[in-house]
Amino acid sequence: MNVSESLQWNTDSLFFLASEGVVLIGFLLILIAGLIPSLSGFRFLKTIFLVTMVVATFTTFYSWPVDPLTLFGGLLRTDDFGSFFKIIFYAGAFITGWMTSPSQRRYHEYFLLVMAAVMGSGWLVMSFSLITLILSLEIVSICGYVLTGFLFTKSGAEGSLKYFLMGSAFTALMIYGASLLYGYTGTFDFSSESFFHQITTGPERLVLIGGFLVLGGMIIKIAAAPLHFWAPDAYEGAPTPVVAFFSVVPKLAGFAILCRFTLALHSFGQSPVSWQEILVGLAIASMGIGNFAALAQKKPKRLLAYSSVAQTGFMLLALACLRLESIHALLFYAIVFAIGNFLVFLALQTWEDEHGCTDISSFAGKGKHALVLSVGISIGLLSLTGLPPLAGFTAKLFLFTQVWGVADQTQDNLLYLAFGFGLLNTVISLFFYLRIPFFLFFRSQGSEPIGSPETKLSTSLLVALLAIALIALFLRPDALTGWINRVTFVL
Amino acid sequence: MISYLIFIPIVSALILLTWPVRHVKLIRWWVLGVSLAQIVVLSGILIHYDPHDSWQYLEKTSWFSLSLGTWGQLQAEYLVALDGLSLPLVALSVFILLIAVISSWNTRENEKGYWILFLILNGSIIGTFCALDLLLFYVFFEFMLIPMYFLIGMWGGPRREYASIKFFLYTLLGSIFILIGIIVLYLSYQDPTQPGLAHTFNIIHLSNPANVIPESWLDGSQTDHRVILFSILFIGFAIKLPAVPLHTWLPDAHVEAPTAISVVLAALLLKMGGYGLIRFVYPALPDAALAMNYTVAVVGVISILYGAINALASKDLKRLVAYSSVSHMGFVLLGLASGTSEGVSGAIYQMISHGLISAMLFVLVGVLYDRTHDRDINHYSGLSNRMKPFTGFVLLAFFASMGLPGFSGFIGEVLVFLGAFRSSTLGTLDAWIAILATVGLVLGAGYYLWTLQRMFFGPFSSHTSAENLTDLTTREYVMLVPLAGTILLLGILPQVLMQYINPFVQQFMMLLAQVTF
Repeated sequence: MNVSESLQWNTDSLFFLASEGVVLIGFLLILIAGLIPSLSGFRFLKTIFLVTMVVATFTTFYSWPVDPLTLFGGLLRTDDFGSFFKIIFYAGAFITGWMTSPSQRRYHEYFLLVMAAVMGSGWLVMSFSLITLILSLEIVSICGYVLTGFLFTKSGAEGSLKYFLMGSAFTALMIYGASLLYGYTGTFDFSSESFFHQITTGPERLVLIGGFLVLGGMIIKIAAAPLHFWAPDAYEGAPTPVVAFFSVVPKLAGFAILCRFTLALHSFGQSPVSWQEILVGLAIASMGIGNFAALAQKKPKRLLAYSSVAQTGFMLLALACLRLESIHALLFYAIVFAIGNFLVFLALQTWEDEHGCTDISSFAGKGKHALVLSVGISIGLLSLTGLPPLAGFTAKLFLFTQVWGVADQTQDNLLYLAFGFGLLNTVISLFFYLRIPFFLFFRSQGSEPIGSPETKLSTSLLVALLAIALIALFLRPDALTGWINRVTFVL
Repeated sequence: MISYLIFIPIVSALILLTWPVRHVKLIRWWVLGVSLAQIVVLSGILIHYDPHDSWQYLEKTSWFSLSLGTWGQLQAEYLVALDGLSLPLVALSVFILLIAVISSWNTRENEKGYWILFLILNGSIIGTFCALDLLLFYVFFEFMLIPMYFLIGMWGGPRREYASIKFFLYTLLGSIFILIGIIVLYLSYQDPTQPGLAHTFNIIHLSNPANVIPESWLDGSQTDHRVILFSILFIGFAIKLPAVPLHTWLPDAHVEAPTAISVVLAALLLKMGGYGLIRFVYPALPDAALAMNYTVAVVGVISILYGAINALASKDLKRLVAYSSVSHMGFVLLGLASGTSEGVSGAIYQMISHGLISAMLFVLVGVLYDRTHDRDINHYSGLSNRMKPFTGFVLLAFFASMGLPGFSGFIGEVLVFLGAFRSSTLGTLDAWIAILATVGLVLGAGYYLWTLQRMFFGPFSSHTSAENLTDLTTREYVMLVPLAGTILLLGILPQVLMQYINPFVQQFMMLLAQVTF
């Protein structure tokens, strides 16, 4: 291929990055507006941010790829799997922006960083080359390190530093692993024939070490055990909208690329290494550690950090089945998880801002005053637990159906174990998910009467909308599964 | 018709959400109206119900389907119908829920929330008894936990927080066992109308061993798999039933729950354990049930004895009634395990009869508690001197619960014993199991008579002032008279109920007999 052809390819490729283009334009607008004093008001920048995300969502729908298309000489690829995730990211960023309060310091940089992280996540899910994978993962991570500290408090700095140290160490290891894989397979493109060929015929130890190190970089992003240590501190120190963002957008981006990369490593079962066992092991560890550690938490954000570790475990279990249908179950789970998580954080944020609640015990007796918020957060938490009549139940049902099906097909004892262990974990998780509703409704308020400010109508509406979405997806999962079933290209 | 029963309360609950707080007094009239409307619908159903036909009032709409890739299609339906097992239970539910509305008539604390949760509970209870789609059954079954948790936790007694969380965790654990069972069941059965293509949640299809997918996990040759699955489902339902040693949530939940909720819990929620076993566990896994019936019978007998012994030792009147429930639900297991038509009929009859009797007992405990806020048996003596009609109702309820002839409890227990002894002649169970169970009856008479003697007879004394111990109010008569009347009616004319149960039991025995593996 000569230079002009390759240039032509690159120019043509640009057309397929329409939604990224929208985000980039929004990014530049905020960047410029923030520098002009008369335009740098919080409301104006927030409006640009929100409008950008809405437009980006619609652009993604509009330019939905019919067939997968390789761009930029194999660096990126657009397909329905990636577009699916991008819609979650834009919607997630929209809610994050919505949640951001005017009291946020340095909101100019804040919006820019969130936007950059969204853009990085979008690239990450399109990556098919180890190079773009590492680059976009780093975009997301660096924005993440900075955003964690954006409350400019001591605990924020602690969380940020912990996240940074752990994250950068594992990125370094990841790059080392990628260079091993590259050195052995001779290609960065992990969907290519030669990659498959070399992986399936390669020496077990080399593939194991290389693959494992690259996986490590992704596992730390999705906060799966045993690489979850940064999560509770980062969650505790970061601004609540950022926490909500972390627990959904970069996490699901990590999941998406994990799906693609493990499927490549797995090579339809021909890989010399049993990646399934490794994934099931990680899933069991995440579910167990996340749930048991959450039991002891006193602060809502730390509790939710461990809860998100446990939820990662459930999603890893779906991934570990390594089938297209189980990935569909994972997508359903991911959406339901995202809705539930945003619902919970939205309510938490409102309480934190308006009532100054930072401990779970400080929620005592609040349930009677802010009914929409309390019922909303309870619905969100019960959906995360997986109780009917909420979508969380449907998601778990689909997921465990896949697990049992694959276990039965392969007679894999480890998967049988994971099936039982995962379901029993639901009972443990109920105990801590109920803590917040428990204080809200069962405990009465202390003696000092705290004035209960009216919740903003817009917040109440958004909470109600997310809660209704959880019920609606339970009653009619078809609406979402029909869409998910059309996702056919993962690798 | 059935959908009206289920959705009138649920839709009402949604409407009440937007009810203005200043008209909060009207809410209970609305809820009473809902219960009365359900009675009207139920009467309509009863008039046109033909006891000799199988499924009636069947309603079917597809809910969702999901592609499982190479395993075909997963189909869930909204499928409800009534038969000789579910109709009596639905009738019981409607009746008891009406009693519960009257019982909680004077709830003043956070009234709106209470009634909304109560209506949701109402709809999901009836839904559980009508659902013929396993997933739908499970959804209603589990959905009940949420309102129940809040009802115990927010309106309960002093230790309500502990009791409500214990109730929720225990029963959720049971539900998870059931969910495991459900997932395995539906992946192993196929829809006979689309063989090889569709998995089914339909309980009618699951009850037919011909629909097992060959080579699946539950394939007929996999006897040990079927026994494992039976055990898992049995544990799940035994928690709900509750059977010893999985019963420990029950005394706490009962003692702390408000009266009306105790009534619903004892009369209706406990029946779901037995109902689930009869509805789909036994029909779907008859061979495993046969292999396990010795264990089931032993668990039943242990529940009977252990419950009775605990009741004997209870100092709290409500705890005594709660343990007597454990004891009486043991008869359901024993009747089922006997594998005879008498035993199974007895088990079902016992479920209905216990529903009525335990409701009455809890209402009576509530009457006393409302007046004195004290349930300690030793704090009272000679109550019969001051509260004569109350003592009369207590006597009636205690005798009914003991299983004296003329009361509904007698019919259920006698049938269970007949079944248990006959099965010992058939060789499926040993005679000592039935003999031990009769000891439970003696203990039952013991704790009830002892309580009567301690609390109601002898010279009057009470730890609270005697002025509080006024006699029954009109509202309380309205609850107690119909309950007492029904208990007597079912004791004297068992045919009223048997005409529905009998055809069902015949079919059920045919299902069990076709153990083809």
